[in-house]
Amino acid sequence: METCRWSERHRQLTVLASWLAVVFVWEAAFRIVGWQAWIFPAPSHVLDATLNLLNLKTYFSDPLHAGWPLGRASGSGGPAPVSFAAVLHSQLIVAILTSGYRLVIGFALSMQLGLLLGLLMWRYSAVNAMFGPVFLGLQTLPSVCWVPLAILTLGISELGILFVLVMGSFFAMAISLRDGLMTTPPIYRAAGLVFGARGLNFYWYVMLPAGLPALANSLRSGFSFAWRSLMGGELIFVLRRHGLGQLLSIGREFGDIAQVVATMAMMVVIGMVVDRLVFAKIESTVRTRFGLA
Amino acid sequence: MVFLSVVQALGIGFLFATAVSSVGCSRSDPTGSAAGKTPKATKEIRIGYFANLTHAQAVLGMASGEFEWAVAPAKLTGRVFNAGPSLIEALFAGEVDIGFVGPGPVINAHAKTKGQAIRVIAGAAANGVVVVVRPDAGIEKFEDLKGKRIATPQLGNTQDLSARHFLTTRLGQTDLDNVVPIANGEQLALMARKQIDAAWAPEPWGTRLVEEAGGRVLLEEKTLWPMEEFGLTMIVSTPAFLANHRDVVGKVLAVSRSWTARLNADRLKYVPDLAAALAMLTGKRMPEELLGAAIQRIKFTDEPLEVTLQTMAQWSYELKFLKDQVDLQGLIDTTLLRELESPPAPAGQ
Repeated sequence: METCRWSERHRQLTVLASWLAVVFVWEAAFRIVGWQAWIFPAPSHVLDATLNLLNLKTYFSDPLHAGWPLGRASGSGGPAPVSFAAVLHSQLIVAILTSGYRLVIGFALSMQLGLLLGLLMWRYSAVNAMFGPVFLGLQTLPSVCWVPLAILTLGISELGILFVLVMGSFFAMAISLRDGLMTTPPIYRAAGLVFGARGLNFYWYVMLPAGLPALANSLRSGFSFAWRSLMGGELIFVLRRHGLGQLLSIGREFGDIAQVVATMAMMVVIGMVVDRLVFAKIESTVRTRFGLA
Repeated sequence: MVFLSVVQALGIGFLFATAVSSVGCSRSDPTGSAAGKTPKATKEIRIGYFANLTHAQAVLGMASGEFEWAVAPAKLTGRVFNAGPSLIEALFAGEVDIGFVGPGPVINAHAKTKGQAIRVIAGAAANGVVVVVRPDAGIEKFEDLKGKRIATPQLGNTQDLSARHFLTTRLGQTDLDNVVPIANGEQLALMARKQIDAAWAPEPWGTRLVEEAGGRVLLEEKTLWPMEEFGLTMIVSTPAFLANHRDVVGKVLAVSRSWTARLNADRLKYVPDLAAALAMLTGKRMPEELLGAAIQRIKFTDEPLEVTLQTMAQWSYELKFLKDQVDLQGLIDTTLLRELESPPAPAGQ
């Protein structure tokens, strides 16, 4: 309905305007009151750092002057030439692609392991008794704790960071799937057995559809664990190809707090975007289909 | 549901900004612009240094208790770091007042804070860095290092900067992915496991790599420098601390100077003390003959070798560690050092 759409749009615009107001006041506070920029950055520093990571030299943080924000306050040199190729090969784009690649591979691995084990834990109480409490405990272990072990056993390699990612996320997925399956209405299982579903048919035609909401939920929470584990691992793991976590670490080593905050913002944005566009979509589709939404 | 009006949003924004500025301003003002106020009695001094032979004056000063005795009645705390960037971070955060650190991180700190947060007040050591290689990595001369996996103590520290510079200029490498920052202590295990081919290490870590990881010294870094000398350790502080507690800094500097003199007179005499102190800090006791050999590679001096700072500033810019060229004006402040070298004539003469 037209009115509903307009009030939804109105709400989104108001929220956006509120956040822009917060950023504006933060920047104004820095310009007027001022504090040490290398301890805590202002929005203009973070914006400069982000654009610099994209190979675009800007000077938003300079005091307002004739050439703002493309030239320096001192007026030395005009805006630097911008080439699309330079932006595509910039540190930030390469880092996003590297982290994304690791995430896709690692999440796929983690998903297979986690879902398989979750299913087994649900089906066989012996497996649950053996792994359940251990997984529950291991789930709480921060992913960075796995890094020293990964370095010493797998070396400084992509395999090591994948190990950290998988260890940080598959326990949570297994537990989440097991619990999700336990809460599916037992009527589906009973009906399936009555209709003669056995073995693989049982899982494919009865449990999988019945457990779809649980599965979708598992995937969503598994993704956020995987993303967090990857970022945490990349902070400590120094690899040839730099991911977002390594960009943050680099910013820290060079005392560039603006770069640190810029990378943090990027991590949040990517996490939110993927969650919203992929997993939340999957979950809401499943829930609507099942009449749970 | 009540949605925020823009006015309410601005109000929240104002509160947020107040919180943020109070966090940012609560740290003691490092610019020393509050020098007008009377210096208050300091309760605690924090000295930062590394568990390296190249920080011998700091290690011995702390172990012998002379720093503590000098700053009394103020309390003294020593903080040990793996390498420069961590120490600089602590300096910024106000957790360290006086630090022993290498030139690379100093230049970076000076550039990032536009000269407001750091001053070099003296030197402590020069040279003392070696390139150690794994025997079966096929590295016989410097040129063989091209493309090999080389470890440095931390990203952005002095050895990291040197390694990257020499690989780029002398060996023509454009892609420096083979330089890997790994903490000193971890380099040992990784070289033993053949995970790294070489290490650009300060003493005594270079000697430890030889002793414990089966490495071999390829060359001393000083041979790559024009005058066969480069500043490695400098004593730094913040402008605010210098302004407010000049007397305490003077006392600490005096102890460091006395150790420089003693080490230059007869350094082998202090090797047992150094062995014991480093063993306590790193958990591993090194044989004294090896430490004796390693200490001969180091030159102890109180001069902050300014040429090193200028050279490394240029390197930092060329390696894109710094966005723009940095002007080192105002970084070095040796007034205190000169005062200690030739004390002013006593009043009344």
